Amino acid sequence: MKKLFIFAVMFLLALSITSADNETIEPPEENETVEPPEENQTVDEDVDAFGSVLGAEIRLLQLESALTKNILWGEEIVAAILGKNSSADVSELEAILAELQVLRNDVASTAPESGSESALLFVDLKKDAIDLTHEFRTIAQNMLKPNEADGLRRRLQLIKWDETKARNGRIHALQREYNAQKVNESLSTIGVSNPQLLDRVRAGNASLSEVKASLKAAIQNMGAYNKTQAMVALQENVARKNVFKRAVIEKVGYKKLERLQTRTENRIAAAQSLNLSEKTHARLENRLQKAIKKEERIQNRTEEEINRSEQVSEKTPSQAQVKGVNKSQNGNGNGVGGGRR
Amino acid sequence: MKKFLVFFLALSLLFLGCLDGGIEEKTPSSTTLASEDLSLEELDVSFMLENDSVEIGDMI
Repeated sequence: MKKLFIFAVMFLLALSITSADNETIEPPEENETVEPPEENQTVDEDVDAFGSVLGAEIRLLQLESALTKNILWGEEIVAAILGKNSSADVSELEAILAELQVLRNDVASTAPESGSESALLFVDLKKDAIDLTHEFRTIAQNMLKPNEADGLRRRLQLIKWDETKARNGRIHALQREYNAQKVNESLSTIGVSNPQLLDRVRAGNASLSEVKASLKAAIQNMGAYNKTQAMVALQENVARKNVFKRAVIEKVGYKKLERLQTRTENRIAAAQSLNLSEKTHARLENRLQKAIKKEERIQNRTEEEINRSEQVSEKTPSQAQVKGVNKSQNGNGNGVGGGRR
Repeated sequence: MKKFLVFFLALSLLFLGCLDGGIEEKTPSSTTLASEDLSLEELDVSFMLENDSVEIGDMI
């Protein structure tokens, strides 16, 4: 009996361990190439920060930091390719690096502002950064053997770049201030003041669960009427944020070509100030023009598809029309065009 | 002995049911305004963590 009981306990324990194992998410390998997350997901996360100037400033600094790191990596990669074969044609890679530099300058000179227009500009700039990085990676990987690319990636991952250190320090300080601002907004929404909690958040000493517990306690200590008011105000906040996010996401596809053309013209003009070789400069202009043509083709194809689907829907009578026709056929035998007299 | 086997089988089935999502974390689907059981998820506060960054991918 006792043995059977021990067996039963062991069986249940084994079951729970198996189930826990299934839920474990494997972290990515340290030396794997980092791919950016899906576009929709990042748009959603990034746009949130553009509810405030501080959030916008953080996102722009983070993008600038990511671009700086990639430019430094890019220069090292080009040097490694030339080190392997001094006659290798790296002009396309250099043109992409030049474009990344112009893009970084664009990001650095963008004034941080809250609102949907500013969020939309950020989404465009980030999309350009992702596309350029992807293009560079594809070309570079074709010019190196897989083991050479792996070795280079490992080496570059170990370098602590001085150029990004100072910026990252500033980003962390702003992040804490941003968190304090968000907590303060929530406290104000429910009509509560808690300066000690704000100080702790600002110093980076308060956890999110702790903050939530404080807010929850504050609401639960309210009378029924105030509690209702606080909950309604919190729900309104959530709704407002969702409306803002949806507005930006809807705008992303609107006038995409015009926005790209403006950005490209600005970049060609800005590239004049860079110390580029004639060949690299020609490549750069060619690349930018190609990008516009590609976008034009996409837009034309989309318009054609929309027109085609509109024509199909015009030709195909709706169910209501079909019903109407059948009715008139049954009623007076005049068929189509019989209609009312 | 038989009783214990029946009890054990019932217990295993119950346990398997729980693992399969039979018992879920209680989060209200809609906010009950004056509810004492206020869920933490309803408080729309999120932190920007120090490792939060803008991901554009690696160059190699």
